[in-house]
Amino acid sequence: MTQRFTEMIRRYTEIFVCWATSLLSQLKSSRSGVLVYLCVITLSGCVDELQLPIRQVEPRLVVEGLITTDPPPYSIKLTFSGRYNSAYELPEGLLVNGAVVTINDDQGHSVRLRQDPLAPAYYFVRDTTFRGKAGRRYTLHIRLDDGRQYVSSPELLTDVPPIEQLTAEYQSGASGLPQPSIYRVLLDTRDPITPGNYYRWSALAYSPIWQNGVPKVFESVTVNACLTTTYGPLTDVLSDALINGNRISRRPVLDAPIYGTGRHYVEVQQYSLTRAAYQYWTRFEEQRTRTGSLFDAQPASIEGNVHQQTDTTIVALGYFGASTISRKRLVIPGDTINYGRFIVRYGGLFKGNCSVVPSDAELENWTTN
Amino acid sequence: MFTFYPMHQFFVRIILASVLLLIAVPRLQAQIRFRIYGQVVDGVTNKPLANVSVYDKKQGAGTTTDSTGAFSMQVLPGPYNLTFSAVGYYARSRFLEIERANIRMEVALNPDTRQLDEVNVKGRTPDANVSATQMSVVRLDMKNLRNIPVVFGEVDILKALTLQPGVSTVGEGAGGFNVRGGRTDQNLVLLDGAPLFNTSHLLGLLSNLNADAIQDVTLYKGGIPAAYGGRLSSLLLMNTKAGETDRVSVNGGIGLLTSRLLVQGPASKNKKLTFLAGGRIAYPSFILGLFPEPTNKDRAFFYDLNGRLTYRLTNDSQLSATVYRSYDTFKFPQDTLYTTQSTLLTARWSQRLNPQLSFNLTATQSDYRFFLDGLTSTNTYRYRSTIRQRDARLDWLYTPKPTHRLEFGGSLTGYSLLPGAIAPTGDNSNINTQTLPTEQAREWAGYLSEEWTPFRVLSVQVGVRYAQFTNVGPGVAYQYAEGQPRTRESITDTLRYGNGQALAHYGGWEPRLTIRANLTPNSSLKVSYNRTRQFLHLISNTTAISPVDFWKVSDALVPPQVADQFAVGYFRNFNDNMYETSVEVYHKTLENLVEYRNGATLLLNPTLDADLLRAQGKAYGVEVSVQKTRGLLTGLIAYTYSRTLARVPSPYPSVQINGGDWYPSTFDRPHNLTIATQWKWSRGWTFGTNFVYTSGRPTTYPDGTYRLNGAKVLDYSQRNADRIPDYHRLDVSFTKDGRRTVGQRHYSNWSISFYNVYAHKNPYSIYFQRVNTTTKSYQLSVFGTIIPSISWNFTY
Repeated sequence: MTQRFTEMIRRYTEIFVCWATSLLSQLKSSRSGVLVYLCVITLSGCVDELQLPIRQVEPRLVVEGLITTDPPPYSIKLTFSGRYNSAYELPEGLLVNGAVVTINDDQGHSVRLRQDPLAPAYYFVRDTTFRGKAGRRYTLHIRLDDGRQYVSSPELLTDVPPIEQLTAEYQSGASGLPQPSIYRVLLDTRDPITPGNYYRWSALAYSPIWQNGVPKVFESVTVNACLTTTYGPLTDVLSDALINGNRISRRPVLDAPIYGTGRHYVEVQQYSLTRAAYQYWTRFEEQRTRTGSLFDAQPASIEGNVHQQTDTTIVALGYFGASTISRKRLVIPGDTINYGRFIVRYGGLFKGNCSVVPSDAELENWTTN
Repeated sequence: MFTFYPMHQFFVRIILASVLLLIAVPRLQAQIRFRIYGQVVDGVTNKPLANVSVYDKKQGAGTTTDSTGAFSMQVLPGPYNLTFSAVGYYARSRFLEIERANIRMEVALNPDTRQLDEVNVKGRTPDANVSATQMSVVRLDMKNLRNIPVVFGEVDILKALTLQPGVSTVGEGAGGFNVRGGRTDQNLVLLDGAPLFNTSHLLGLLSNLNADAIQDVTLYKGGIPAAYGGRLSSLLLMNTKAGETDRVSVNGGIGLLTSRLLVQGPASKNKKLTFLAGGRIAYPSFILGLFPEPTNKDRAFFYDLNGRLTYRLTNDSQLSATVYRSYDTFKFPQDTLYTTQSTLLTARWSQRLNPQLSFNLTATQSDYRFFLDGLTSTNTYRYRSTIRQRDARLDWLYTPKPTHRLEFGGSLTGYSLLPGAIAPTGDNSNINTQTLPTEQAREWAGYLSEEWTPFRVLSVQVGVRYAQFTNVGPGVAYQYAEGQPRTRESITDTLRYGNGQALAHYGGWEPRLTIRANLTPNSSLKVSYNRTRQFLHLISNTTAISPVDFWKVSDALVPPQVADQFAVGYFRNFNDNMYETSVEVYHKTLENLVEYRNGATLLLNPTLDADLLRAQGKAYGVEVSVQKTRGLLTGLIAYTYSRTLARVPSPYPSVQINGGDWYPSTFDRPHNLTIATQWKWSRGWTFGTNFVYTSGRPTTYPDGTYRLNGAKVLDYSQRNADRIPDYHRLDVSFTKDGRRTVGQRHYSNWSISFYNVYAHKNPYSIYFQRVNTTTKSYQLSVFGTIIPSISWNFTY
């Protein structure tokens, strides 16, 4: 009898989980929401994998590129939509070869981009005299080798306030799970009084790790320590619609995992966006995080600001942006972590995947550079 | 594709022919007529019975009782054998001879426990299917609702309606319903005359109407009476029970999600004042608490309350007041708290001046509020949106002759809407206060409707309604540059309107017509046409309605939605009305539907106009239904084939959806089959089954892949080009009626249901997601398993 009762409770639980799943898109923007969602998905029997093929309609041009106030090079990546099987390699047929690509500003300056011989999808501005300036509008022209011409709407390069401060906060990983504790990196900045400011952040951290999970000490020097790279969320954007003129405080931009003891090196970049670019990236993110609930907005092509010159109804995918960048760096000393206790709890759990890291000289002067 | 366009001509011809026929018919010679009038009450509770059919088969004279149980008919002298019948009651016959005086009668009908569930849905008279003028009408038999299998054991009026032909939803667990290709905001849902803006509990899992407190439910899918307007696709009329007159009774129930209690009875010694008070309270928080972390910190709670006072001044005069309230909260821990609340207040004075003339004076207020509390530490806020509608209406009924039934009246409406406002809560919040301007509007409407029955074989109901709508200031209107799609950047001017200044005017005639012609005594052909206008729009860009949606009144850039519906039907009864069959065909066109630009921002958008598009819609279908209305086995087989399509005919390609072509609406589900049966066993047991089969709803699958920003991205270039798999399920229920005799006062009922007996994993949605480097497709099923439930109900 008790068993039957438990079974019934389990069944009801499952139904409620399924039902709750269907609601979750409403909170997917928040971190806890995503966590709940992941938990729910794995627990419940309400989600089944299907084997539906993805149809492929005619290939569309995909434009990805950005001009900034940093000195060149600037890159524009040109590809076609189509079947992407591998995670990293671009299929030969989907690269745009031999296109004539130029960027113009609204004062008559123009620069021709050169195709990279090693990474043929990329076209570069290497002319150091051509540099983005706040207040200018930039237009991208593309002529494909079959004669089709694409042009972007003039994109305004707007200003961005400086990052005032970065702080890091230790957050303990869930007990019982092979999940590292983290340093949550929080950003403070002040939104200008004028309305209509849009932000995008990108962040990266170099965190210490040991090659095989445990430190190997030889004559009191750890010989297998290295650094691993972690990136912030892909598309982290914000509009000042609700907070105009206020401080943006303690905005989380990155979680740096604690795989080992030692210093973490963090860099955060703050980009300005136009309203159109903000809307583009919001839609991009919305679609990337669709949960299949009935409360999701209707999906549609994420169309940007590049279209065919003669027929403006043919719109390319992707976005040609223009941004001011402000940067800030932070070193997290990591000296509050108890080495001995750390080894007991996590020893051997996180094996190093040492990535390309900045030079020692750069790390020495991390925050002054 | 098969379309019904040539049908218009056919209709026009029929209408013209009928009008000519009516003019040509010579008036019958006047004869002295007398009146039979009186009241019909419940034999057990003495409560007046509405919608009782009073009919003399031989003479062909008949009428129905009004909400006070009263009836009146004019007859020629002679012998009459009147039959009084109503759903759930034993029919009763009275013989009388009319010689030279009016006759008043009091008739009591006894409830029929065994036949309580004659069938879940039924017309008023035994042959109403064939003989009533109306078509496309669904009446729920409230007494039988308990015998229909339901999910979680919660008797649900709206879910019962979705078993009917022509009524569908986008998915189980989604709020609202779609009638004949209409959107969920196109249903005028009136509880005691007040509009209900939200019909769901728990974001759509259940409806928020307590079936115990509701007397009657009538859904008009077409042929909408001229007295009503303001929504395009359907009219759902519901009334709270009046309260029993003989003694105080208590009934209630305990289910898996909720408990209910309802008290009703006389409130004064002379029994002229009666009351009803009922409520329903939920405890799903308890069930959520059984979840693993962190879902067990979610909280869900709801309640609803119904109250009514009825005062019978005289036999011809009655005052009533009702109150309804529904409240919901749902909380995700550390994140957001959703709150919705609806409050309805109504007051009505019903007066019969003489046997031919009576009126109803009604005042209502409906108020709906939505709150969203953000609980994230530095961004705590409260977002709210509200709508309030106040109506006053006067409805006259004049029946000078049995062959004429004249209804006329008018209404005044005031709207006040807050589309959205956000304000910080707590001291550390970085959120600024932002409030969109309140929208105010006024509307007046007048109508006139005549039901004329020149012969027993022909009746015509012809009506017209005129509505005039004004959006009034204070307000702000943006003007946009001509010749390009509207965007925030193309605003050329901002017009500010002072208090009471008109921002926009709209108005128009709404003709309504229904004609019935009997082909044989047991069969008839009916045609109907109606035009409807809608000045209030639900702004919602999701597949199912969600609580975040808000309402908007028409303004200079958002004209009212207009729909025209033609329907024709053939109705035939067999075996002394034991079997009712019908075939109905309809065609509907809709104009000025609200659609959204891709990536539209809806919440707190001061220039929402720029994100809205105008769409057209068309819907057509065939509904076939066979019902068995009497006997131990009763039931319904209904099949519907219907299509509903939309398109955005914008001149600007950049805002078009699917290139401006027709595409299926989200609730376009062509095939729809329902088989519902109730089988009476001995000892009070009833065995109920539902089988439902519908085509899958359209959805948008990806049709391209590309790489951007380091991620693989899916392209969705064609809206609603795909369909999720078909939906089907079988439910069974066993209900035990504890009564041994008809008049038994204390008894209890048990109800055991199994929803989705064969545990079919019906897809609720299908979606694509990137997992590491590959894109996978998933199916989400909400009620993808058998759901047993049990509930206990008592009457004392």
